[in-house]
Amino acid sequence: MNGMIKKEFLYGIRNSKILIIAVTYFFFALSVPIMIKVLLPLLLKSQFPGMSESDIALMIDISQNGSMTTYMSNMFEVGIIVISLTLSGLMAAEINDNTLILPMCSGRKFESILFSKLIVFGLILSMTAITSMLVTYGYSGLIFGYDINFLAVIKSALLDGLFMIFVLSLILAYGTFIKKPIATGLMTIGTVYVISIVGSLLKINTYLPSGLTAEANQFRTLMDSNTILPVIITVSIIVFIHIITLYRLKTMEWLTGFKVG
Amino acid sequence: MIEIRNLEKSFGSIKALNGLNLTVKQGEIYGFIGRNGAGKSTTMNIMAGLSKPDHGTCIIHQKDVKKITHPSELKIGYLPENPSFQGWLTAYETLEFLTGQSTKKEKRENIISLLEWVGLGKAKNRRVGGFSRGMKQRLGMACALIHDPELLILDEPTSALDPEGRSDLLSLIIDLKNKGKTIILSTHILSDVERICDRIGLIHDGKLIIEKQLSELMNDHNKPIIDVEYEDNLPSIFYERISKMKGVFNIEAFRNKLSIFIDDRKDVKEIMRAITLLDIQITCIQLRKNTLEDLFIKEVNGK
Repeated sequence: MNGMIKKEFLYGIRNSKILIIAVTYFFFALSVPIMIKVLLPLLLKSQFPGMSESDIALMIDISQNGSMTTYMSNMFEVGIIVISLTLSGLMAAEINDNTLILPMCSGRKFESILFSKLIVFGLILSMTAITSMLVTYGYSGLIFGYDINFLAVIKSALLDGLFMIFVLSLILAYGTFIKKPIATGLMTIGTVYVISIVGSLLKINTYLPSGLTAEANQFRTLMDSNTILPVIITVSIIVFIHIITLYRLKTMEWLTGFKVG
Repeated sequence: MIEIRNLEKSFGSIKALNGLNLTVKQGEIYGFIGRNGAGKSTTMNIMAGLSKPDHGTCIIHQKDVKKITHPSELKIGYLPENPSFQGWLTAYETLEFLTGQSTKKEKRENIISLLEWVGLGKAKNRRVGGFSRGMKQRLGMACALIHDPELLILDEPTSALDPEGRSDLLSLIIDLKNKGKTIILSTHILSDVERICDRIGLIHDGKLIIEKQLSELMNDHNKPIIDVEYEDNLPSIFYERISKMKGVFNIEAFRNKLSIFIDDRKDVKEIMRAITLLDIQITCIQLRKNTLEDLFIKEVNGK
C-alpha cells in the first residue's frame, strides 16, 4: 500500500494536479475578501455614479460573513468544475490506457489501487479545502474584523472537506464505469449540480450530500440534524460508491492488444 | 503447468476462441504462433487472468482461471504486447511501485539488478515517458519478472526491438529457461521461435491446429526447397513447366523469386538441372530446408 500511496502522490506532484487544486482554492481564498471590500463597490460606483455607500452596503454584504459566504459559493461553482476536470483521469485514464495491467499482474490488489487514490487525493482535497478556508477566514478577518466564530469556520471547513471526498468518490466511480476522462469529469460536475439543484428546489438538502455545503455556508457551531444527517448520509453514499466501484473493478474484462487476436 | 480445454470466447458476434485445447509443460519454452486475429492475445489475456472464458477451462498452477478473483492468484509474470506505464515515473520507481513487502535494501538491490539484467541499468533514473518502444518492452520484461514467477507469459516480446535488442532478449529468455522457468511466448517472428522454443502451438480461427515438439515438427516436414531468383518477369509458361516437373508439389512466387517445394530429396538434382536449362535469367539458385515460416504459410493457407 505504501508504494501505491507514494505513486499517487508523485502523480499529483508531477502532473501538477496538486498545484492546480491549491492555486484554485487559494486564489479564491485571497481574492474574495479584496473583491468584496474594494472591487465590487468600485464596480457598482462606476456603473451607478449616484449610488451612496449605504446603498452599496444594502446590495453587498461587506463583512467577513459576506466574504466567507461568497468564497464558499465560488468554490462550489468554479472549484467543483476545476477539481472534476483536473482529477477526471485519476481512474478513467488508468483503465483506458491499460496502466493497471502490470500492477495487477504484480499482485497489486484492487482495494489498494482504489483506496490509495482515495486516501491521497481525499487528503489533498480536504486539507486544501480546510487550509484555504482558514486562510480566507484569517485574511477576511483582518480586512473586515472577525464576526464569525472560529469553531463555526472549522465545522464548515470539515463539512466542505467531506463534500470534496464525495466528489472524489464520484470521479473514481464514474472513471471505472465510463473509462473516458472528460466524460467522467462532466458526469461528476452534472451529478453534483443536479443534487444541489434538486436539494434546493425540493428543500431536501438535509438528506443529500449537498446538505454539507448548505450547512457549511451557514457558519453555525450548532450540531443538530442539519449537520449530522447529511454527514451520515454522505458517508453512507461514499461507502456504497466504493463498494460498487470495487465490484466493477473485480468483474471487469482487462483486454490488452486487439480485442480479437 | 497450463492446461486449456475447449476454450471459447466471443466478443459480440465475433468468435475469438472456438474450442481451443493447449498444454504447456513445466520448464519448456512454448511458442504460440498464428496470424493476426487468430486468437493469440485473447488466449494470453485469459491465461494472465485478465479475462474470463465463455466456456471451457484454463487451469494454471492447478487453479481454474474462471474461479480466481484477482490475476495475482495465478502467480505468473505477464508482458502484454504493448506494455503501458506511467510516463511520469522513472524506470526504478515503476519497479519500486510494483514490488511487495521487503526491506528497503533488498528491494533496491533486486530492482537495480533486474534493470541491469534487461539492459536498462543506465536508464534507471529516466522517466518512462521518454523511453523508446524497445526500452518499454525491456522494462515490461523486468516488471513481469519482479516477483520471480515460475511461469512467464510474453505477448510479442521482441516485436519492438532492433535486431541486437531482439538477440539480447532471446538470450534472456533462454537464461530464464535455464533457471527452470516455464515460458509461453507469442510472436510473428518465426525465426525467433525456431531459435528458442521447445514446442509450438499454431492457432488458426480460435483453434489450435498444430501442437508439437519443434524438432519433431521440423523432421515431419523436412522437405527440400529450391529458391530461384531471376531477372524480369517470369512468363507463365515457365511457371507451368516447373510445376509439372516430377517431384514438385508446390510453388510460391514472391516478386522475382520462386520457392519450389519438393516432395522427395532424390528429385532435387534433376529439378535443379532442369531449371538451369530453362530460358530465364537466373541470378541465384539455392537449396534449403523447410523453415517454420514455410510450414506456417502452408498450414494457414491450407485452412
